[in-house]
Amino acid sequence: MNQTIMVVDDSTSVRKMVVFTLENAGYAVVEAENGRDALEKLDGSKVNMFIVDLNMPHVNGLELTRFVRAMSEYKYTPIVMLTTESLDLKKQESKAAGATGWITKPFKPDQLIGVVKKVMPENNQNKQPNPEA
Amino acid sequence: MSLKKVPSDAQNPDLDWSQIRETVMMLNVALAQVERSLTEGDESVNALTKLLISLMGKVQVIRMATESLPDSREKTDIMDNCRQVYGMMNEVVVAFQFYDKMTQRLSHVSLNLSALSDLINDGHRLYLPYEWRALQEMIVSRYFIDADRQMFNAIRSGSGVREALDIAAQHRPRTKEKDDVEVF
Repeated sequence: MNQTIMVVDDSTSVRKMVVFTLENAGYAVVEAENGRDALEKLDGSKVNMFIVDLNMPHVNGLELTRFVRAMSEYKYTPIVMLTTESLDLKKQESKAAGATGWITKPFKPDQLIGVVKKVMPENNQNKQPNPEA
Repeated sequence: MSLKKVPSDAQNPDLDWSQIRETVMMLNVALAQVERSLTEGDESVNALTKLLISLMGKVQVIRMATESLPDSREKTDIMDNCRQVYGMMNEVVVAFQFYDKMTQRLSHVSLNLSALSDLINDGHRLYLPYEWRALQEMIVSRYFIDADRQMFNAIRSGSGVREALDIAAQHRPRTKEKDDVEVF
């Protein structure tokens, strides 16, 4: 069974490009338009990874990361931030909130898949995020 | 956005803002046209995305079928071409993201201009300094990149447009570096 990745981005065109890249690499994808939509769609079903835009209306990427980390089902599920932000402060905030990785837009498909493969649970079983890091 | 039907005095500025209201409304209708184009553009992007997915599926079918063929020069050629198509698709995905950046910026301008129009059209709010401060804060709040915020802050500190753009350029990362990807 394909591993499932939830893609959360308020931009339809970017979301479509991420979905295109992931599906092309064999992953199943669940889409959400923003953090609130993502939380509504998280009903305990299996999600192996999140790819989250940082700046979104109605629950931004940082808030979503904190919410997800507080849910026992997704406590250790990798969360990669995909963002136009280049501020190191934002990167550190994301890390502190429990994010697993960081990719700046515009992303290259190979680059995205490289990070996905690197942080997917089957490749990363012993590594748990440390929100205090 | 409210459009009040008031006779134009724009030819003879009356210092009660009517010429500014009219000018802002002219810009608003121009932006409405841009917005319509953006909506049409989004439809095209969706159609192109579907096309891309379908195209990649077909290339994959060709690649898989070719893999099962005995080694030959033709097989090598087909496999090379499939790889090249994959490479081109990567570039298309990056290009789409620049389109997204442009539409986002136009959308910000449209919303901000609409808010400005609302403020100028309201005779009560028009003369309240905090309404103007709130509008400026709202404009800045739509932008999340440090360079953009520095640009607006420069304007609010008295810089001209050229200087503000130069300040933004100084704060913008020159190129996409390798460390733009990081696993914590």
